[in-house]
Order: sequence, then structure tokens, then C-alpha cells
Amino acid sequence: MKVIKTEKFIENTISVRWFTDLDRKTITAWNLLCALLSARTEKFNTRQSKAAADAHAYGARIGYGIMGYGEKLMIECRISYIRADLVQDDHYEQEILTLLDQSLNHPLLTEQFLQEAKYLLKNRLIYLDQDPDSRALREALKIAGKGNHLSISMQGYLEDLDGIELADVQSCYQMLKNLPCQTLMVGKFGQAITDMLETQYPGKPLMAKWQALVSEPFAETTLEREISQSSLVQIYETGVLPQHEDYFALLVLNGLLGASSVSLLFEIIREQHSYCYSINTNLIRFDGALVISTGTDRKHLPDVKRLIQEVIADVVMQNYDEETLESVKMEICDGMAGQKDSPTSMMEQQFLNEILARQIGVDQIMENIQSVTKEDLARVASRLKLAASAQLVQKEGE
Amino acid sequence: MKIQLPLRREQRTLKNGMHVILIQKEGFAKSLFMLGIPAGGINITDQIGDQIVSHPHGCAHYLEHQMFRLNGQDVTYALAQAQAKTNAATGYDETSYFVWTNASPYEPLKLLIDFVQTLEITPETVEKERGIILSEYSQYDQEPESRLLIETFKSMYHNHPMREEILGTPEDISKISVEDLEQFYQTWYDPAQLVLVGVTGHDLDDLFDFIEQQEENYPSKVQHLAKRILPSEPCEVLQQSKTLHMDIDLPYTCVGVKLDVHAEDAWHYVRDDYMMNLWLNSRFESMNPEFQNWIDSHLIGGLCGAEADLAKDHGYILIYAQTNDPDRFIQVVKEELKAKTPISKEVFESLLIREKASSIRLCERFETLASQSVGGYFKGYDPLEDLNVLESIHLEDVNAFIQNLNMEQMSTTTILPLESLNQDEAND
Repeated sequence: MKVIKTEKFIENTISVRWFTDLDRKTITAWNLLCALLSARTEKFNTRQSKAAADAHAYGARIGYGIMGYGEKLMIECRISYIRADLVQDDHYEQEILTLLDQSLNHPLLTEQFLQEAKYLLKNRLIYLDQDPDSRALREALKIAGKGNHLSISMQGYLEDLDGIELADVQSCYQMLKNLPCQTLMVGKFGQAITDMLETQYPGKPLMAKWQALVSEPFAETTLEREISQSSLVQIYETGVLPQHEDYFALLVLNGLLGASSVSLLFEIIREQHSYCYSINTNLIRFDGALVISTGTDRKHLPDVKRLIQEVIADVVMQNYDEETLESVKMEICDGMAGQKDSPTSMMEQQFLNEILARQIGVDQIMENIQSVTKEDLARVASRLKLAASAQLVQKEGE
Repeated sequence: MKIQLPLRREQRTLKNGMHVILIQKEGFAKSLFMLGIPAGGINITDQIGDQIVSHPHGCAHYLEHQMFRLNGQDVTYALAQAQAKTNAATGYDETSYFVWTNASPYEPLKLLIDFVQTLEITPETVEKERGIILSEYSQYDQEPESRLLIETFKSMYHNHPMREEILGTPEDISKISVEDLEQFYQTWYDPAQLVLVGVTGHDLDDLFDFIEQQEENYPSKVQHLAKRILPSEPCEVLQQSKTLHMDIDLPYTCVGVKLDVHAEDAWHYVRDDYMMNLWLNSRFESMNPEFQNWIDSHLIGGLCGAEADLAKDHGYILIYAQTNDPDRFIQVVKEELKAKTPISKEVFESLLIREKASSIRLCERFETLASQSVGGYFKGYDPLEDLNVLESIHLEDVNAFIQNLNMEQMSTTTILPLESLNQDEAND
């Protein structure tokens, strides 16, 4: 159990986390389990009573979620609630304790509620597929990670829903109870809550191994829709994982290309050519993948793709301002400095250090970022290999 | 419940008329500064003294895009060198520009003050931005939630400019000129009309001194403050129902209710708004036992919500859902609005506590706190009064408010999948 004691924040945050293998066969069942665990408990056995209990506990937010960490699937139960000393209500801490105990220990897994969870997840998946940007990303990941875990949709699959039975979800729950977990806490906690978690969820560091994406030959897919503009998502293999010596250079490269306010893609594709409203990059860090996303008119797609390649080539050739690089590094460092103002960021940094088996403070990370050079970036940019490209395009004449 | 909110706030009005509100969050590295302009998408006709000026739709938003130039360059780069980021938002009745940093706040603050109070546009910069704004328009145009809202406002209002999109239409965007933007700027961007809000971990006195010093470079140039002129608006909705088609898989529907609410001042408008929303939350969220039946019968199954906005110049309720059966959803909503079911004591207590908690959390949300402070200043309301407003609301107040409210003026908007259009055509 890791506790960061602080009175800085209005809210206390508790996160209990489990790691299991990310598997295409069980991902939909895990999604259903999380929905069931979030919606009701033995004591709060209706949506109405659960919603009323959360609201009455000063709008406490408690629920389950999942997230991919490379080949691992993280299942998390998180609660955020206003600090008891700010509320001045003698019963409040007991309310929180009850909510936490109910959510962690008293699930209500029934056939009736499973059917409801399936119906809601089905609607959610239809909704996600309907959104052009989300659909393009799913398609790109599917073809980039063909045959490996990157292709697994974290939200689950429509085609799996009918075949999942209550026993499958119960089996996931039993597995969850036997998995190692870690408990992270940020805030000022009362003794009763600390005692309960120390006894029941003491936790220990979660271990995992990571493997960088190695893609098949470049894959591309194009879907047509009656939409106002086209969505483009490209996935690049970088070969750089968080333990890699070039990891901090990859973070800076991400900022330089599309994840900072002075990024090269934004400057060239939006500002110089007016081709789009937004263009950005993201890292899927435990897979060593870099994602470029944008929305543009269908007729501009070939130019946008060409310009993306030219921008990457410019980084390899070190053909950009030193000033821009310095600004990107400062922006990343500013973000790191701001972590101390956010309980969730503090928690994530702690967790990241733990799963990477490293002990590195924010100051050291900032130092590593500052020491990245143009040569480092050229080296990392030269490793970028376009693994997949997915585009959802407007029908001709739209 | 008397809660001491964990912040310190001070405000001053400067010599040039700019109002400054600074909020200190001790122990935080972050600083966020927001400059607010009391004009946005609905400013189509304004009055300055005896003079009436007209602006094209989308003008406020287009100008917002053009404001980020300073000394011939995009100010984003200068801000990045000062370890800060910037953004802006154009709403219906206000525009705000903001910068934030976790480092020293002085240089970013200076840049904000300078770029908002300096207009640098040319035909080239205006032309360059057109494609970007058209792309932004396309992005919203293909979002069903956004279309649902816009089309409902179009049906509800005859004349009120909320019936037009903040971005304007592609045709409006294509025509906006340097002169249009200059006129809008001259009308509204005078320091006497602006409010500057800062939320910061840094010392307030030093920041006030710095702001006062910087603002000496920007004396007010106006003799009369500008006023927004809104056309008269009938109580009735313009159109009762509308159906359109998009490339979606599940239909969307929205019931818009046009309200005619009069309150004595901004504090009471906020109180009415809270009462309206408390009641809506009791009916269109899980705390209504019927909500479970709506899920069980597959009437709703994902997006479903209700919200209200009550202000001096408009009042509305929007109740929306993604549903397989839009007609039945509309019928259910109409029945709920007609029944005006009173809130029970238990549900009221839970909802009220949740709202109070939300007001306490506001203290740690830098951007929301700044944005509400800007909006509140222009409306004559202090967002830190929220807890007092909530303390003044009792169960019987809410139930009486709802009983006396006319919720009969409705417009419904339904978005159906394209397949249904193709089927209809095939049947024809």
C-alpha cells in the first residue's frame, strides 16, 4: 500500500488496482464485470439507492474501470470523496467506509443485471463506432497490432456479447479476488478507512514485462461514411519502451511532433496550410507506439499524409529551430511540475515508478527531459516506422 | 453547514476600468489567468451611445481565432518560452482567453494582457484562418450531440440569436472580413469592459501591482460602454417538431422547453436555475425509480440527460437521449413535465448535498473557477455564493417553483439514421 499523505487537496483519492493478462477472449467479460461492480452492491441493490448513497456522501465518485498497460490489463476500483474534515458531518466518514466496503467486497452479480450491462455496453460500442475519430483509432489499432495485444479493443466487442454468460463474469470476479493488487492513496485519511484498507487490501508492487510493437508490413484501411470531414489515424512503431535509454527522447519527440502547443505538425499542417482544426500525437508507451490523429477534408488527405512524412524527415535531418525544441522541453517540464497539484497525477507517477521498478522523482525526470538533444530526437525519429493507417473518409461529393 | 472554502480572494477595479479578481490557492504551483469579454456569438446588434452596430454571425468566434498574434508572431511561441500554454473559448454571450503555467506567472500574464488588448490582423491572416474555422465547423457538424442542440435552439427561437451557431454557417465564415472583425474588436475589447481573473498559488499583492502597472499601457478609449441589443422574442416556440438524418446507428432525440422566467436579480436567477436543475435531476437520473424501467424497456440505454439554463434573456430546458424509440421517449418526457411530480424528502436531501459538494470542489478547478468568475462578474453574480444559494433552497421551494412553471412550449428534434431515410425513399 502506498499512501501519499497531504492536506493540500479538497478530495481524497483511493485506487485499488489489479493486473491480469490482456486477452481478446475475456476483454468483453471484464468490461461487463466492471459495469456490474459499479452499478450496484448488496446493500445498494438498485440504481436508485446506489445513486442516492453516492450523492448523499457529498457526491462521492466510486466505480470500476479498466486500462491497458501493454500486455497487461489493469482493473481499478477508484473512489474520490471530499475530505471528512471539510464536511463537518459526524456520519460522513462512515458513509464513505460503507460505500468503499460495498464496492470492494459486496458485488451483486445476477443474470438480470448482466442482461442490463450487456444492453448498455452494446449501446456504448455502437456509439463509439459511430464517432469517426474513435472508429478510425480502433481500426488503426486493429490492423497495426494484428496478431498481438495492441489490436485488442479495450472497450470489448459487440460480437462477443450474446455468448457471455453469468458464469463467465463470475469467473472474472473470482480471478480478480485472487490476483495480486496494489492500493494507492492520496489525501488525509481517517483511521477507520486506513485500517480497513490495510487489513483487506494491503497491496504489493505489481510486476509486469513489456514488449514493443513489432508490426507486420504496413497495413492500411479506408472506410466511407456520410460525414462532414475525414478522420485519419496513423500508428508508428518506435521500438522504444519506458525502460529504453531513448525513452525521454521519445517523450520529447511526441511533444515536438504533435503533443505540445508549438508542435511541428500543428504549425505546418494547420497554421501554414489551414488543412485542419486539430492534429495531435499520443504515445501508447507500453507498446512503444506513437499515434498521429487529425481531421481534414477528403481532398486534403494526400497532402496531409505527405506533410506528416516531411515533418518526420525534418526531425531526422534536424531541420527545425533549436528554440522550438527548448519550448517543447519546457512545456513537458511544466506539465511535470504541475503533477504536484493533482492527486491523480501524483498517484500515476507513483504507480509508474513501481511497475517500471524504478525510483525516479519529478526533478530527475525534468533533468532527463532537459538533456534531450536534437541528435537524440533524430535517432528516435529515424526509428519511426509507419505500421498502420486508417481513414474514415467523406463520401465523394459530401 | 458553514464551510470555510480553502481559498483567498481579492478584487479591484483599475484606473482604466478593468475589473480584476484574484484568487489564491496556497500551496499550488499552478497559475491560470483569464481575460473575459462580455460579448460572444449572440452579439449581432450592439449599441454604443446612440450608435447601432451590426456584426455577421460567427464574428466573435472568428475574432477569437485571430487574437493570438502579437508583434507579428503567434503568441503561442512566446508563451511556450515562458513555460505557459494558452487557449480561448467563445460562448453565446462572452469570450474568454486564458493562459496557464506552473512556473513564474508574470511573463505569461503580461503576454495575455498584451495580446488580448492588441489587434494585429491583415487580409492574409484572416484568409489563412478561414480554412481552419471551416474545418472546426465540419467537426461540430458531424457530431450528433452538437447538431441536436443547435437544431433544437433553431426550432425554439424565432429571433433570439441563440438560434444561430456560434461559429456561424460556412457561408458566414466565408464572408467575414477584416473590417467586420475590427468593428467587433473596437466595440467590445476596451479595458473598461473587460474582467481579468487569476487563480494562483502566488502572492496576490505582487500580482495586483504587476497588473496595474501593465494596464497603464492600455487606457480606456470609450466614452460609452457597449450594450447588446436583443430582438423581442415571443413566448411560443417557432417549430414544434423536426426530424433530420445523419450517418448514425442509434437515433437521438431532444425535447426543448422554452421558459419564460423572471427573477428580481442575478442571485435569484441562479437560485431558480438550481431549483430547476434539482427537479430535473430527480426525474431524469437514476434517482427516479422510473429511470430503471426506462432502461429495462430499452427506452434509453446510454446517453440520457436533462439540463436547464435560466438567465435574464432566455430560459430553457433540454431533455435528450439516444433511443431506439424517439416517439416514446418524447411521450414519456411530456408526461413527466405535465405530471410535475414533487421531489421526495430523501431524494432532495441527497441531490442538495451533491450540489453543495460540487460547489466545494469548484475551489480546486482552476479553469472552471476562473470561467465562472468571469461569467458571474458579467451577470452580477458571485460564484462563491453558490453554497449560500443552496442553503436557501428548501424542498417546498423547489416543488412550488415547478408547480408554478409553464413547461408547455416544447420543440422536439429527432436525428434518425440514414438507413431510415433510404427506407422511406424506397417505400415512396
